[in-house]
Amino acid sequence: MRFGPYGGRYAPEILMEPLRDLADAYDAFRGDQQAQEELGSLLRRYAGRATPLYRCRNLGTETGSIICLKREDLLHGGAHKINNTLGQALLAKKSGRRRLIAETGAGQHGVATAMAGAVLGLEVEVFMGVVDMERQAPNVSRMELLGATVTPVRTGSKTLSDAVDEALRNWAATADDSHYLIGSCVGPDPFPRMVRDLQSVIGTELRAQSIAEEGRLPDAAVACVGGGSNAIGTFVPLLGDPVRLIGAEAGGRGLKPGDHGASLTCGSPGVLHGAYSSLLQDEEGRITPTHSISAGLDYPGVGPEHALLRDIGRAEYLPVTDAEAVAAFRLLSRKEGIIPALESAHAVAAALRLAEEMPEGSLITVTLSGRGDKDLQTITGGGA
Amino acid sequence: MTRIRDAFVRRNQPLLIACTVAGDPTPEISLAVIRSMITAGADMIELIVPSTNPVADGPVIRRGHERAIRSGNGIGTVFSLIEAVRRESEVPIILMTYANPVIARGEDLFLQDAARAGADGILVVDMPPEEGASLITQERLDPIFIIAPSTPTMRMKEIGTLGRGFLYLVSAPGVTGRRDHLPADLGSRIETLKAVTNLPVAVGFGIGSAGTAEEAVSAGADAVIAGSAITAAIEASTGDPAGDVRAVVGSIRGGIRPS
Repeated sequence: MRFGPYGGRYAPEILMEPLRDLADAYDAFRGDQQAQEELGSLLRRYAGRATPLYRCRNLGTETGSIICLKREDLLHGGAHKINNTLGQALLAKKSGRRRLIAETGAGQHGVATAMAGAVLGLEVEVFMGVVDMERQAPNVSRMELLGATVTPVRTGSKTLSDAVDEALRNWAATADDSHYLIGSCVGPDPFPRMVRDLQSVIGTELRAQSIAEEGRLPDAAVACVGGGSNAIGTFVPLLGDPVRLIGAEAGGRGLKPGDHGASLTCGSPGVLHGAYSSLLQDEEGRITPTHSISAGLDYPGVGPEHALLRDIGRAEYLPVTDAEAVAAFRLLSRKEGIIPALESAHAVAAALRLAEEMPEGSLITVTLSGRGDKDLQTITGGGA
Repeated sequence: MTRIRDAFVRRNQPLLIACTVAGDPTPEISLAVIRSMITAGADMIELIVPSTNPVADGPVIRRGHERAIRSGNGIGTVFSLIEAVRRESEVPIILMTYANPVIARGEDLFLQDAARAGADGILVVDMPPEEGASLITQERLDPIFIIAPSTPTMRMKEIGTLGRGFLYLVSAPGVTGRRDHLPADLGSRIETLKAVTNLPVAVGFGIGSAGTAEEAVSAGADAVIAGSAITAAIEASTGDPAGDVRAVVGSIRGGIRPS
């Protein structure tokens, strides 16, 4: 299944049968009312859904716009990742798998997978680049406390992209009894659509809450984009509405090659990790190094559906620099008493930019994908 | 394009396919390594395009990719190595690559340039037949497809009708890398595969010694593919990588046809 020209199943033959099995199992899972009720119950009673749509009392008020935060940071584990991991872990359990494999960048997905594995009784192994292990040390301890094995990845740039490579390699050897619980809407089919569906709970709630509590749809919905799962989950339920959809990408230190992770703004089409999408690469198709102050956005690719939404002009993608993200991180903390994840701070910064530009009274929602406790060391240790 | 088929038709013994990452660690050493592989008895050369994300490779070949990339080698190195080998040998050359370098150049142009340089076959690791229309419909190079331990029999049959040259049978689940022994069910898997295709079967993944090569041949392989052992010899070499590779290839060759 493709999103326009994007997506596909560019996988080694050894993964083709596991991917077909997974696609079949996922179709059955979607139609299985009992499984869906179990997932709904886990999301409500374990993860803490629904999350509030909070109208900022102070942030952005000077612009005349209204900024509302979709508080995914309040979920169990402190990030939207649990929406996906509970869904996939339940699917894995229903299809007879006993073990979960995951990659992680910021550590949030690893933690969310470890939680899902613990509660559903599945073994968990998380692959994480050693650079990320260092900058997200508290999450490594959390994963281990939750019973997961964290396996350091020392190849390449030693970050998220290399962790995905390693998880794919491990899955190639263990697909019989293991499920690869991918953390974003990337990878070969069916992963991008599966993750999108599981994260769409964000946009579905947001849409209903905006109507119920603000009396209207938002004028713009903003979310940060690394692989793009919280953004696609925010956008998809709003696709049919007159709502501007804005993705905030990692602008890093600026848009010179190697200084950022803005794969939609600066990328070109190619295949990475099983899907045809927009990538940061050189003219010969070698993936180029990326940089972002936030580990979760430090990725040279992006979910294929985002590449399509960009091409058809349905969503806009803006690079936000490290410095802007840090400023937004501090501002939200001071103004609203909410410490956002550095990833989410990119979306906050983009929303503040929009609030300046858009007509007075505009309603802007920001998906606050996670909380920022994990980033304190980065911020206090020198920031951008 | 008929070099691969001819090699299998002419043979009266199993063939040895020797692999190396193009430009590992430099183009000069790489060319010397390929020459050594030929003089040590390799019947075909599989040249690997350096990749930044070699997801199907184990640690040894991955480090080969990293060395080649670090010294700046890309597709230019690959094509000039093929040209250099072709000037002095009729050995069949198979280009092994991940999808992205092919797509970045444009699939048709890549295949055209590879054929012009003198390659005979192409294996794109992460381009299964479903995504590989450009490989299947062209006539310049033999498209080589992989059969994995997880590939069902029906799919083996389909892939057998789409590939040319030979089928690359992966010996065991996982990534490239040497093993002490090949799985016990290899023989029955080769038998199953041969029942549904007429293409020769080359076995790869896990073969790095005379012993494992012999196991593959006794299990019914028409050819064995060795890569990690060769890359490991380059990596461990203290002065004469080409000589060290010659010794390794010679030893593996001894497992399939004692001289």
